[in-house]
Amino acid sequence: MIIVDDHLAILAAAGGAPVDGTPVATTYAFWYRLARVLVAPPAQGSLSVRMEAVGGRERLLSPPADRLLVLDPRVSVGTAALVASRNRANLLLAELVGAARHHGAAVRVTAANVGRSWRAVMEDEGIDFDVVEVS
Amino acid sequence: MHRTNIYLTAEEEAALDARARIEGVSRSKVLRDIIDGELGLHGTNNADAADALLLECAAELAEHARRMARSDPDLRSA
Repeated sequence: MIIVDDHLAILAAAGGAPVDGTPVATTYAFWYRLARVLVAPPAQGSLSVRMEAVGGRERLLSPPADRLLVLDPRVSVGTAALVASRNRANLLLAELVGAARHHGAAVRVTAANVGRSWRAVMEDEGIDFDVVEVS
Repeated sequence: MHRTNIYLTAEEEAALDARARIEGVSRSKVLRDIIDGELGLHGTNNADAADALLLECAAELAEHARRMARSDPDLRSA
């Protein structure tokens, strides 16, 4: 399994995951970030109208499970808390690393979502981590 | 629909029956709703168009999510 950030999660939910042949999942925190955008879409206006017209919001809020899983944070919260205590990680990072450790999953994110400490934390925690380029 | 037999514990059965009574539906309907919700099977009326729009706007939505998270210490990717 590969755990991805919110940008890659959108692509996965829409059938365009840039990773092939393995289940794709995202964390509750990344999914929550997306949900906030969906209820308060960008101010350009036309996007929210188009999203409403085609059901894009529902597509993301209930992604098809064969494309994107939203991981239940309850099963990995203990590991996430340990990660946070060892690395001064915030909720987003702690849940991501905790879930990766708990599920034995790799982590792939877009460059814009890589925090300053992320590479070091991933390495210290033994996570298979990489940045994915998207066009 | 296909008929499927499954084994449930007494606790699971009691919980399903309680929810069915509250919602005024059958135990089977409760189970189908749980499965649909868990597996994202509610769908949309225009799935192909929704997918195309999401692929087109993924970067914009993600950037907006990042901007909204900047002021939230728990959710920013810093």
